[in-house]
Amino acid sequence: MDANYGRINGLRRQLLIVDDDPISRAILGNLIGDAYDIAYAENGREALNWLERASRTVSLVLLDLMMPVMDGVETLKRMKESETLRQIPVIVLTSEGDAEAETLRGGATDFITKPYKEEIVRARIARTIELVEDRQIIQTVETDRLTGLYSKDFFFEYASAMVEAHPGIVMDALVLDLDHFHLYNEMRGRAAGDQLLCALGDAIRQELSGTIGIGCRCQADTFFVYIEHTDAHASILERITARVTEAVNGMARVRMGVCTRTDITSDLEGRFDRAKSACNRIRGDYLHALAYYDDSQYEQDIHAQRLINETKEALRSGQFKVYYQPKYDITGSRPTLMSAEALVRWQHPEFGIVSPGLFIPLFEDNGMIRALDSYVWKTAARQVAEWRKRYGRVIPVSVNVSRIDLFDESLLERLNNIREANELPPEALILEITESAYTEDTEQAIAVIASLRAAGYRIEMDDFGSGYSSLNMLLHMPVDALKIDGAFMRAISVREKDKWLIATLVDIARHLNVPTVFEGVEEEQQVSMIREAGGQIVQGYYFSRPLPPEPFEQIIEKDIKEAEQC
Amino acid sequence: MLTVDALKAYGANTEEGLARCLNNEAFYLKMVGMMKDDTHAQALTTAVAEGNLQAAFEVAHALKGSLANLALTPALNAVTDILEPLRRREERTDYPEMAARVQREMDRLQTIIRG
Repeated sequence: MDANYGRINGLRRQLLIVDDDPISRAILGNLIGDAYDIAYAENGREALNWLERASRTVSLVLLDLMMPVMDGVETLKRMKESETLRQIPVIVLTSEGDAEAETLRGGATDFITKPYKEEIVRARIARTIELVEDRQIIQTVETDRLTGLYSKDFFFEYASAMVEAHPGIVMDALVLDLDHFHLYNEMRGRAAGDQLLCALGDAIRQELSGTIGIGCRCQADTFFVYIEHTDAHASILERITARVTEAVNGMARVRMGVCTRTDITSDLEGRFDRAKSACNRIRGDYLHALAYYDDSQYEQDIHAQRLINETKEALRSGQFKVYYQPKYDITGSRPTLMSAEALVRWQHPEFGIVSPGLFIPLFEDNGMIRALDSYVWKTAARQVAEWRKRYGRVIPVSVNVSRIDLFDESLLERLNNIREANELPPEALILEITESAYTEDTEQAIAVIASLRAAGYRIEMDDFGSGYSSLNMLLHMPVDALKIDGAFMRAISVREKDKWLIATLVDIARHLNVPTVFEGVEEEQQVSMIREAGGQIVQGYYFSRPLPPEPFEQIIEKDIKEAEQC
Repeated sequence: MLTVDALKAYGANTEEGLARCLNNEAFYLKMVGMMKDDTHAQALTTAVAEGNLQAAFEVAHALKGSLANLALTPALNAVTDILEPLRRREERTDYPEMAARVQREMDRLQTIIRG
């Protein structure tokens, strides 16, 4: 017989033979010793002592029944009572007529009769080890260790089986998620986070009790529930939320996305993707905790997915175009060109111009934003170098630095490499960092931004006023300019209180010893108001829309000409 | 010196016994050799004489295990004959006789082993 028969996945298993008869021990050991590592014990007590030390490494116990000191029945009983030993399979060694039935009832996995028959001994041992190990593997991967719900793979397996077994039953796909779970984890600690997950798992289990539905923890704080169709999703969510809130003795917000069975166009996993998409749509939306997947969202998702799939090709084939919008200094007798902001446009071969408002959030979600940022930085730096060569002056260009870039340890190196490749000073690239990056990840952001400034880069806090910077926090922010959110300009008119608002923003910047940049400026009156309030820099359609490099050069040339005339 | 032929002549099913030892003759003879000073037969005789059927059963059971694995048929048959009524704790008068038969077969075996 093949000497590898006892090896499963190449591993040699360890067995314990417990028998008081030295001849029986030796013969059995000789029968299987080529395939297993064998340990021996003369009686039950000796066996238990040995097992206590080797419970994690032994694969099987071969146990004789009639022995002095402690017999096999008592040994088996004690093993089954022991937390550490009860999982170890036991094959009882019996003579014909011995108590096979009694030992099987007592927890033995199988029995082998004496005198031994080689093939039967080997086959029963190998089969027992395999079955027990398979069962242990299944138990391990079948359920989520933390919540006891199914694991994702088994959930889909069983849900599919359920569909096949009950073709007439209409089922809904539910995805449940906890708002700001990572914050909960960070603020209250991992143990509290686990407790919250268990509470949600328990609440789901209670909800499913007595139904044909099943649930799983898909990943982190995302749970899937497959449940018979109902119109009462709101009540389900209410009950689950109430149980979770009660269990963790505090506020935990559960949100739920639903894909009902009316959607029959996709497979099971597809339906959960859709429920998840609905659930994601209401992330952070405190007015809605329940969302349904519908057709319009389906169209959006398909469009978004296409854009994501095509990003790499778009970067490679130059579909992303960098436009430049000038920024003017309005403090002097005439507006002078100070710098420009690099803005990316996606010239899609099929969809035409795709709005950055559509693709930037997608790229921020999937991390592609980093590649896009690098592309824009490189393009802008090359452009600045080219204009310097052509016009003999450096026109600084501001570029966006996304939140994700701030967590990139190689950020400074990436920027320096691009700058040095074009022989530009650090002032040639102005870095625009959104206000929310400062406020959400304060410590990390401030440390990184400080290091960028130390390397000579100027930082503009973008979208200022759209987030929640406290004035106190602002005092400690490493920043070289406040860029006032364009929404302010769109909202204001020439009324007195609007003037006051602009003056206040300018005042804040003055206290910080930094200039203000107003974007979204479209009218002359707005420029006057900003000038009166003491604002310095203006960007917007009033001066120019974002332009490709060639038309922008006319702006540079015009500025040069005006400077010469003055 | 103990040989397979001698055991065959004794009446052992050496083919079966050897197969159980993976046809390793030296190992088989070594195992049989371990019966050289076996005292189970004496213990059986004593237990039967004392009327201790439980002890007699345990001793016979232990002896049968070794004999069966080594296919030492004459002694095995003798011990099997006494073991079954002992398992049922039957009250019988012929136990001493049956124990004596076991003793005789074991004596014969041990004589062969000692060469």
